[in-house]
This record gives sequence, C-alpha cells and structure tokens, in this order.
Amino acid sequence: MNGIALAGLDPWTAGRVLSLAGFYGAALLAVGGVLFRFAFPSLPQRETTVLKRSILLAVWAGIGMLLLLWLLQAAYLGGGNWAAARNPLLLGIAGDGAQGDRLRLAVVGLLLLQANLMEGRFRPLRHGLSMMGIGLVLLAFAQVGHTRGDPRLGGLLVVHLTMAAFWAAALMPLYRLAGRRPGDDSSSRLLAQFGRFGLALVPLLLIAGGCLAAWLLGGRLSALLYTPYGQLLSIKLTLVALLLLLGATNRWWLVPAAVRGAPNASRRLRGSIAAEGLLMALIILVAAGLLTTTSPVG
Amino acid sequence: MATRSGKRTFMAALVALFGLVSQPLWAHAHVTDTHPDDGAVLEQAPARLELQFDAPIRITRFDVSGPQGAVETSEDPVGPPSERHAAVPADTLEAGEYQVVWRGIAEDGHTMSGDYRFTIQE
Repeated sequence: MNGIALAGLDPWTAGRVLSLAGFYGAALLAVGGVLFRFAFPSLPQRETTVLKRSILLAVWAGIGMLLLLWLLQAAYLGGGNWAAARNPLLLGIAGDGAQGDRLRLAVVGLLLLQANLMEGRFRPLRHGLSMMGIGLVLLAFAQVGHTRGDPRLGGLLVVHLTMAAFWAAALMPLYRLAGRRPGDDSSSRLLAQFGRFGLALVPLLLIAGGCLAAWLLGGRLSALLYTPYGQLLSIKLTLVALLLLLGATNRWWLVPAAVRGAPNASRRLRGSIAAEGLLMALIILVAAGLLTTTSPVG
Repeated sequence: MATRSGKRTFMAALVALFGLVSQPLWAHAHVTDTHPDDGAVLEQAPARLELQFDAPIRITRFDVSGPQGAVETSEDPVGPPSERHAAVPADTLEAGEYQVVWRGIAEDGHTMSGDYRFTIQE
C-alpha cells in the first residue's frame, strides 16, 4: 500500500511541479517588483522602465502557469492523460475547493498588480489597488496545504513570502545597477540602501520560515532526516543557507568594494547576484516539489 | 514610497481578506484502512472494496485490476468528499491477485494517490 504518499514522480507530477514552480516564481517576482517600486521610488528612469516590463511579464506568466497547472491537475486526477485535462467534471474538481480558491485569488491579485504600472492621475487609487493585489496574491499561496484555514500559519507564510518576493525581485535591478560605471552615486546609494533593507528582511524571512517549518515537522528535528518531507525540506534549508551566505558576502564585502570602485568588484558582485538568482530558482523548485509530492509529518 | 492613504488601504484590505479567507482548519488526509487489507490473502471474494481516510477526500479514480484485467464495479466511489469510499464489484471476483489504484484530492488541495493489493485463493 502507498497510503500516505501523495504522488509518485510520473511525467504528470513532474509537469505539475514545474508549472507550480513557474507560478511561484512569476507571482513572487510580480509582487516583489511592485514592493521594490514602493521601497525605491527614486530608481533611475531606465531601471524603472525595465522593472515595469518585468512585472508585466511576471503577471501574465503567473496567470499562464496557473491555468496550465489547472489543466495538469485535472489530467493527473483523471489518471494521467490529456483527455482528462479536457474533462469538465475533473476540471471542475481541480478548479474547486482549495486549488480553485488559490487560482481565483491569484488571478485577481495579479491583474490588480498592473495598477502599479499605470501613470497619471488617481495615484492613491492605483497604489491601493496594487497593494490589494499584493495581499490577494500572497493570500493565494496560503490556500493550499496546511496553512489553509489557519490565520496564524497563513500569516507566517505571508510574511515569509513578502520578504522572499522583495528579495527575489530586487536581484534584477541590483544586477543592472551593479553593472553601471564606478562612481555612479545613485547606483552606489541604491545598492547600499538595499543592504540596509536586508538587515530587516533576512531575520523576518528566517523567523517566519523557521516557525512554519518547525510546525510542519511536528517540532521534531529528526523528521528532517527520516521523513520524505523532511529530507526535501533539508535540501531547501541547505539552499537557503547558501543564499544567506551569498547575501552576507554581498552586504559586507562586495557592495562596499563596488561602491569604493575596487578593481573587479562590480563583476564579482554581478556574479554573486546571478548566483543568488539561481539559488532562488532552485529553492522555488524544491518548494513546489514539497507541496506536490510529499506530506508534512502532521 | 507608498503614500499614507495607500498604506492604510493595504492594511484594511489585508485585515478584511484574512477575515474572508479564515475557514475551518483543513488537515491533510491519510489512509487509515483498506478493505481488504493491503497484502491480504482471502479464501472468499470480498463483497466490496473500501478505502478509509482520517479526513475527507474526493476520489477521482478507483481502478481495480485482476487476473482478467480491469474489474468492473457496480458502485463507484468517485463522488463528493468523504472519509470512506467503497466500490462493489459487478461480478464475484475470481481467484487471483488484485490491485486497487486510486487518486484523489484532499480538502486542503493536496492531490493524493495510492494503491493496495490482495489475493483470492483458489
């Protein structure tokens, strides 16, 4: 019997993991991009334009990935075939309940985020709508899994994801700013400012994520080694540790060196930021695998 | 930076949303029992095949296969969320090895799958 196993890694499950990871990545970049614009209103015009384009791209990629995930869920529930992906009953089941709530909240939230990209009048309304979009997308994440229906766990997840989204979306603008010529005061100021943000962001990210992980493991550290969920979570935690190491290297070594105009510092900083992006992509992939293929201890 | 009115709107929206989406806590479902037991060797054909969970789950597939291939069932467990799902074979099962393969979705949105086997002796 394979009672508590959620799913084997057949092609349909692999597809669901990839599309869920795609949604996670796109939604976090869209939410984080808007948060970054709020936090850094003095971003150079050229960077603002690139960031707005990337938010728009992330919004529609996120919606596309969610719709693909919906089809793949129906296909999986029907035994793993494309005919099931077109079965109205199975599409209804996959679009109902927890999965359906996530789909609806995320799509509405992502659409609302676009208010942040508009220019001109009604600025408070645009800000209000885009902030509501942020709230809806983050709440969408809490609709599936153990956080569903538990405001405390859902709140922890929202805090964790807010910090993660901000960090993830900051990487591209920081990468571009780090490539500007040495002595560019505005770039140096923004890089240093992000470093200060990191001092508040990282502890919140870790505390919220740590509390969630401890609860899902039933407070047993040994579950990290002896349960499939714990083993996959261990991989995620290792990747997070590497990410923190890179973040600390940037904050206390590479950014100050780049601001001073030290030789090769900008190149190293850009390489380090690119490595952070790669690690984040892997973390998102593992997180999608955690939700799709394994079950927490409880 | 966000305006003060924007921040207030955001906080109000967040509080309202938490209120709207606060629902009963849905635990993840696990299999607690099957009928026949997994690996059971039976002297008589079972009248029904059953899956039991510790929380409601919606079964979307319940396939039974035996020595003659796919087994037809007169009652199908595919339906609304429940902790207990049963299928009744259309005809008395012949001797041989059988496998039940199922898929479903728990109320917390997790998709699940599993299988169990039993044997009917000659």
